[in-house]
Amino acid sequence: MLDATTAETPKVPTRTQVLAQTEHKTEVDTTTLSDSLRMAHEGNEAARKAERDNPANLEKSLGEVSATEHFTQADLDEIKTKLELSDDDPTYKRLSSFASYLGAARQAETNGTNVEIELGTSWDNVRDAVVEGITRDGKLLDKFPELSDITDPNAQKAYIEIVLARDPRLHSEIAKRVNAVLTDVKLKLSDPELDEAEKLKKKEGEYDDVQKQQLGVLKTYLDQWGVEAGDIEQLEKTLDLNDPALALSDTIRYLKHARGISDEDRLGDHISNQSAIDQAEKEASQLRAQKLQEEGKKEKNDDKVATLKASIEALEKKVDDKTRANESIQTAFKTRKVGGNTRTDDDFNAARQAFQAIRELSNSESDLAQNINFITKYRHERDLVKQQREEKESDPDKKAKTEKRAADKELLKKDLQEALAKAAAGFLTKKFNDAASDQKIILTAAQKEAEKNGEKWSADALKTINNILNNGRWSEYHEDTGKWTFDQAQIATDGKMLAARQARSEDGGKELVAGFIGYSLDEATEKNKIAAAQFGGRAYDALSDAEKAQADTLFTKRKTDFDKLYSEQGETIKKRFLTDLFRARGVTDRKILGVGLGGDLILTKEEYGLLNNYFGDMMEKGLKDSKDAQKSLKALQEKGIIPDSKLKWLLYILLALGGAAALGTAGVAGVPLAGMAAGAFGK
Amino acid sequence: MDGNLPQDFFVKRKEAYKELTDLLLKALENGQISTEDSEDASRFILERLDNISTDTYLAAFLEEVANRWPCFKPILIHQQHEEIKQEDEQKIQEVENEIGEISQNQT
Repeated sequence: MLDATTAETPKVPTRTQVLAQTEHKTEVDTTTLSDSLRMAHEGNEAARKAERDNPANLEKSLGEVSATEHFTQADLDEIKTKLELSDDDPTYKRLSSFASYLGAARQAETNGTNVEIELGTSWDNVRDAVVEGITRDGKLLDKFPELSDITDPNAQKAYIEIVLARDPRLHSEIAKRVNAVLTDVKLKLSDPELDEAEKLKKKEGEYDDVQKQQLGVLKTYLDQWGVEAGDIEQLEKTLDLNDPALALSDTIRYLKHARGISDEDRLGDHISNQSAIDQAEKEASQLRAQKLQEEGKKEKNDDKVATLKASIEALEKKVDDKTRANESIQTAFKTRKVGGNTRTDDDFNAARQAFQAIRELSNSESDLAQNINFITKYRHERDLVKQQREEKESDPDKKAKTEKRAADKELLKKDLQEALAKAAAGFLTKKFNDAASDQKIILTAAQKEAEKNGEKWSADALKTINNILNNGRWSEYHEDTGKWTFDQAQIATDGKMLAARQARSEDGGKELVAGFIGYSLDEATEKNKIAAAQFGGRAYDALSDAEKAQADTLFTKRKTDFDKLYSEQGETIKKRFLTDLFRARGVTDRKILGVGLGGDLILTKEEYGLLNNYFGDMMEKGLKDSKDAQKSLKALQEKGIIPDSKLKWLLYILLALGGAAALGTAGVAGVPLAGMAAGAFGK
Repeated sequence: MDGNLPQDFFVKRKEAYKELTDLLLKALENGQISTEDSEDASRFILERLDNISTDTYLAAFLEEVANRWPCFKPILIHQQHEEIKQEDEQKIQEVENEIGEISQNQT
């Protein structure tokens, strides 16, 4: 995982060049400097230390992410807005749980407050949400197929929580990916013109929503009146919503139609006539009262009485005329058949009442009129916004930008969806990179120790083994791509051999290592090789007694050296095989220690069982030596979960493989293993 | 402080810390290493360096660190310089011893 900018690096200089250099380091307080290295990693180490010091306080380790990478709910919300995700989007919800989980832990660590207070909810709730999120992310779980093998959902969740959800390196990886999406969102989705167009589009959508809501209200009116207006979309198409007067007139027309009222029915005239009749009768009644009053006076005014009489007669005539007109309208109404049926007086009265009510609805103060007015007003504003947006998006350049932005959005959504899975992959890769480095360091140190002690054969053998392990026997790291490749066929071949030897209770690892360095475990073969190398290609049996004695001495020395090398480095080599097997099976396989493997890594279930037995002791020892693993095992035990062999493998790979624990248990050529525990690599 | 550690090795390890820190901070300043890689590197160093207690492990460790993160390569120059210096001092000591023995024999 080399940075491209570091491609130009200084070469190791020659002796002359080195000697030509002056001492370039000044004396500085080394404590301060080592502290500053810690500060470059500030918080992480502090959190790690805090966790080490206080195993009961596991949650504190979550704060580790604060010094490296973290993300907040606000970051997520920004992503959500830009990518137009809904509140129910599963990826958003999953990451949101993580943000709460990490944020609360960070706050609690920084301020020393209670995590639950920071969360405003119970820790269990948030933790469960996170674990649930991981459990439901199929892509993430694919990286840890063992977890899918756990049938008890509670045990699965406990495992995920204890082994994965609490791991600060996983948090850091997740945060990195979320932050990468956030950066891209800011970078790729931040064109002011397009932002404006998007805002307008959003506003357009809001207008549409309001309009739909109001059309819904209108539809309820129509439904009440028995108008078959179809759904809201049809209603929108049917009515002329650009002009409130026209829309209202349309609506009224529909309502009349629903009640079987036509213009020919002249119900409006009937109502006007009735209104005129009522008015005339009222006036006539008043005039009659005046006339009676005038006639009752002692000195009555005859002219006035006559005038009043004339007026009353005129009004009575008007009433008669209008009444006849209305009778004529009613008669005409009844003569017009609707749907083949003759209409009655009751039909007329009902239609007249309906017409009256419809007429009231058309009043500008009525709810219906206001509703239509509202719809058309919003329609108008929406059209203006739409026009503005279309103008902003109309020129070809902006069109291309808009299309690109839409494509970018889709890609970023995909990145976000894959954030957890990629984080898991990154997390595993880093663990394996570190483990591979540890193995390399152990073998290189052993080689240097052997060189120092003049053990040339051992030094060469160790160098060869280191080269074989790091240059493609099972796996190879490619600096140019930053990726590992695996030789699945070779892993399968070696795995089958180890399993076969295990079936006979033999240590296949010894055979494997001997093969790496061209050493034969068969005494006669090895002696013949020594004889050929030392005595001009002759066979051992063809040597003189003195020569045989020399060859025997060499053989004994080589055997001692090999046994020592294997006893000290066998575990490192076996670890490498185990991790490469774990990783290589992940390339094609979703089942661990099971059948149905893909690619060239074909091992039977029985062979996996034998390998599990072969590596069992080493894994148990690794778990025992790792504080992290012990802590997790204890936590699992408290929940009543005893990991089986598959899960122990996962625990071993995730918790016990790399780091100082791995180095601390290794031996170095030339240093007795017993001394190593507290010696070469232990404090 | 590692009680059982020889003082000269303790100093050597501290020197390694110092140099690794300098190189890392410088590389970060120069943009030679990404923040992500620098975090990985510092974590790797912090988790291991304190546990190293032999010259051979220290040399192997520094070699691996320099291989993984090339910004640390200059530390190999320094290490090589120290080794050459030690070799030279050893040779001078041997010559001085030989001269001393010759002088004693002559007297």
